[in-house]
Order: sequence, then C-alpha cells, then structure tokens
Amino acid sequence: MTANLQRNVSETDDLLRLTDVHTHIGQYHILHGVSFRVPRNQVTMLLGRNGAGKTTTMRTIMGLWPAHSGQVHLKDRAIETLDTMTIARSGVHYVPENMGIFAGLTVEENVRLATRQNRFNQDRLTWVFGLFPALEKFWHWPAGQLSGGQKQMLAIARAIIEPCEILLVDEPSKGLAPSIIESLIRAFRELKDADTTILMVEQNFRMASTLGDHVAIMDDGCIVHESDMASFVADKDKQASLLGLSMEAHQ
Amino acid sequence: MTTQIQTLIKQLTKRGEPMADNSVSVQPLSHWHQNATVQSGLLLVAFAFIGFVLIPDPAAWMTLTIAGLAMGMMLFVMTSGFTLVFGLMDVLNFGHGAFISFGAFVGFSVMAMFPELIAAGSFWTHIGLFVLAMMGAAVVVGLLSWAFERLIIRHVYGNHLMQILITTGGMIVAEEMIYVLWGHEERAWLKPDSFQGSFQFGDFVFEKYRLLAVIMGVVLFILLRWVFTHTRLGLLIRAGVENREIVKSLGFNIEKLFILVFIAGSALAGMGGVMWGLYDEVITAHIGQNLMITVFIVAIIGGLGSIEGCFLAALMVGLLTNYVGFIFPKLALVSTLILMVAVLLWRPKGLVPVSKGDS
Repeated sequence: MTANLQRNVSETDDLLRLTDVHTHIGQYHILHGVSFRVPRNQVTMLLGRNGAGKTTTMRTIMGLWPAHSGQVHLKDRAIETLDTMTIARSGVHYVPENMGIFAGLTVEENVRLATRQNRFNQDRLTWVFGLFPALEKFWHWPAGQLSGGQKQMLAIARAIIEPCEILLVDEPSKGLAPSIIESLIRAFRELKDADTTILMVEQNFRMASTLGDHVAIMDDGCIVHESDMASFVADKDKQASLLGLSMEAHQ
Repeated sequence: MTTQIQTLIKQLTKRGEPMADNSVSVQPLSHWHQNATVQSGLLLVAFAFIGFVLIPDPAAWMTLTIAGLAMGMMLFVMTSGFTLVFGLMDVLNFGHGAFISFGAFVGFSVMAMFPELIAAGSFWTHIGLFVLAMMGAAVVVGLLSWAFERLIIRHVYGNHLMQILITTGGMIVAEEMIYVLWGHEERAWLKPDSFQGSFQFGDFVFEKYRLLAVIMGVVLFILLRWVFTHTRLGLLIRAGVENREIVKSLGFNIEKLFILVFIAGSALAGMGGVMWGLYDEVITAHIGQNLMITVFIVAIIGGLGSIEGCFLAALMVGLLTNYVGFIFPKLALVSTLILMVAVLLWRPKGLVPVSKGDS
C-alpha cells in the first residue's frame, strides 16, 4: 500500500479528464468550471463538504445530468455529449450514492443484470465472492432484505462483475457501521491492487487517505485543490484550510 | 413463563433480515408474514370462502366463482399492459381504453373473414379462429400503439397532467377512427357455436366461454410470468420498473425498452378487448372507455407496476363483482370502489407493491 501511496502521479497517464465543466440542474448552476484528472490505475478521491458538487460531478461524468459546457475525456474520447447508456458501454461503471439496488430482484439477478451476456464468468464471480463473501451466502435472497452494508457490497459487485475502464463510487461508507467500512476498505484495496482505476467520492477522510493515490477537493462547485494523496496527507495545514474550513462553513 | 411467552412472541415477530456482514436472523414464519403475493393470494381464497358461506346454493356459488374468475382473467389481460406502462415509464395512459376497443373491432373483423369456418367448424377450428383474432388484434393494436408512442407519448414523458390531457384526446381520436372504419352502430358479435352454452358436471353448471376465458387468462399469466422470471428482457423490465436511471447506468437502452413495453402492453389490451367483446357479444367504440374505471381500480389495488398484484387484484374484483351482484345487487357498482379503499387503507401502495428506486 505504501508503494501505491508513493506512486508518482506524473508517471501515469490520465484515464479521465474534466476540463472547465459547468452543470446546471434546472435553474441552478451547480458546477462552475470543474477541472481535474483521474490517473490510470490509481484511486482518485473527490473530497469536499456536503453540497460542494461531488455527486453532481459524478452524475455529470455518467451523463445523468449532462454538462452545460466544458469537456469530459475518457482516454482520448470526448464523452460529455454522449448519453448514459453509451458512457456505461464505454466502460464507465457507476455505484451511486443511494446504491441503486433493485430491491425486488434477488442478489443474483442484480449482479446478472450487469453481465454482458446474461451469464457469469465463473472466475470473475469467484473473485467477487472472495471480495464480498456475504453475497454468496445471500445469493438467492431478495436484495431488498439485505443490510445497508451488504447492499453497498452488492452495488460494488454489480459494478465490477464485468471489467471496466473506470469505477465511479459515490460515498460508499455513508451510513455504514465501522466494521462494514473496514471490510469495504479491504475490498477496495484488492480492487486497487488489481489496477482498477477508481474515482471515489468520500466524506470519511480516514478511508480516503488509506485508499487514495490522488486527491481533488471541491468547494462551491469548483476544484480548489488537486495533488497526490501522500503530499496532501503530509500537509496538515492544507488539510485544515481546505477540509477544516469547509467543515466550518458547513456547520 | 411470561419471559418464555415474550421470547416466543419476539421470535415470531422478528423480521427475517440479514443482520451484520454475513449473519441472518432466523424466522420460520417470515416468508408468510412478509410475502405480499402470498398474503394477497390467501386473501383471494378468503374471498371465495366468504362467498361460499354467504351464498347458500353451492351450484350458484360455483357458477358465480367461474364467472368471477373469467371476468378477472379478462380484466387482468386488459390491465397488465396499463400497469406495466405506468410502472416502467411513469406514463398515465388514459388512451389505454382505445386499444381495448380497437382490439375488439379488429378481432371482430378477423373472425368475420371466415364465416364458413365459424358456421361449420369444429371446436378446435373455433379455438384457432379465436387465437387468430387475438393475434390479429395484438399485431394491429401493437402497431397503432407504436405510432401513438412516437407521435404523442414521447413528448410528454415526466408530465402527468399533459399525459392525462393528451392521452384522453388520443382516446377520443381513436374512437372517432373506429366510427370511420366500422361505423357508428354497435356490433353484435356472437360466439361461435362451440363456445355457446354450458355443460353440467354433477350439480354444477359451467359456461363454456367463461372456462375458456379462465384458461386463456391463466396461459397468458404463466407466459408473462415466465418472460419476467426467465428472460433477460423480463429482468430488465422488472429492474426498470424499480429504477430506470440505474438500468441506463448499466448500459441498457431504456428508450427501446419503453417502446417495447408500451407496444406489448397495448397488444395485451387489444387481446383483452377480443376476449371481452366475445364475452359481452356486443361491441361499441366505447367498450374500452367504459372499462377504464375498472382497469384503473384493478391497477391501483394490485400495486402500479406489479404483474402479480394485477393478476390477484383482477381476480378479486371479478369475484367480488359477481358475488355482490348476486347477494346485494344494489351494491354491485360500488363494491369494487369499497374494495379499493379497503386495500389502500391496508396497503397504501397496493396488494403487491413495487419498490421504486429505494435501496
């Protein structure tokens, strides 16, 4: 993990890049020129107070709330004008803040829906079960009957059952018990070791600093800081000024 | 002793949910307590039992039960499309009744093309004609509904008020089209000989066409259930009814799915129109409009978007209408409304509620 934290960001190319992205929701102007990059095979953490625009950024990348202006590049392809279906098929997999579990479907059906051919690659499935053993146990249960942590595991499993270019995860630790958060951290570490590119919104700084290689901090719909996570973790003053001030403003 | 009873009550009322990471609370009765379909099925059986108690003559009860089930099956066929369209597309299609009427007239025309087969054909020939009429209605109404979706519905997604106004207008236009194509007069549509009359089994009399309607309804329900539970399309529809956005995020073309479901739902309405037309033996351009109130009631009682709920609600409405019509004729018209109010007080989202975007 230390090696991952010390990975030199400049040595990697960018898988996803946002440039001056503006997003409106109805009459409200939410994103005011968001620009940041997501290096390939790294975990990028998007941090910031509530209402800073993190979820809007994720939804804009997915095409759920289209960008009003600006560019979103996946590798070298501009995706800001594509619809959600095409973006998803380009390899952008998304775990939304509310997890988006189909409560009336079984765990197996939820995961099967995300497979390309309506059947499982057994090796991949075994790997997913290794990450989230609880899912194997409740494989034929209605997903609506799972606990909050298990639903989060299911949402992530659904997003990784097929290989993807990038995984967008919105606040995976939200509302979960510390023990569940630990098991999620373990799973994300394993995903990270498998060179999965991840963009994660997270409020839990311990989780963010443990997993992240790269960090972008948002406030009021703008990116106010971007660096590698190791240097940000080392700079307590910056943490206090960016996250501390944000917290005070929020409170 | 008190502690033991309290422990027992606690165990019996505990929900069978997974608790922590991979543990689960064991609850032997949880399935029966929590499964809305099972509960509603038991309620349907209770309906039939209450009818049996209140109707003194078992032969009359059997006749009414078969009539109720037949009516229920036809209502199910007509309502299943409406409830799916609302559940998946969030579209309130007040023009659904026009598809029922169109289906009835198309079926009438298809059967009218083979007068000699109707007059001299065997039972199986008549069955073949009946199925052909239903298929014809499904195809024509399906094509009409495709045009209806492209021209009208697609412009009012997400706006319920506009949907109500524009689909009501669409229904009026469709009824006028029926007048233009088939004339203003109501049409008598007599059943083929094989479907006429009844047969006796012991003390019980069974009307042939009603039994046929029950069988057709069961076949269609099993077919729909199979599609929903055994095909990727069914899985997608069930998922789409719950959360369209996530279906899109998984890389599926939700717009194509919308159109497909709209066409299939309307085709089912057309098939229901054929079944109802032959049941009533008279068809008018208003046949669908007249049935729409009952269609709404069935969809709401069943839970919008739920096929199982729609099936059970349709059977309940069919049984109740027939039982009450026999026991308290003056209450027959309001009985279904009373049932709807009672069900909504018990289950505000209907008998078998569909979770909408909650996780």
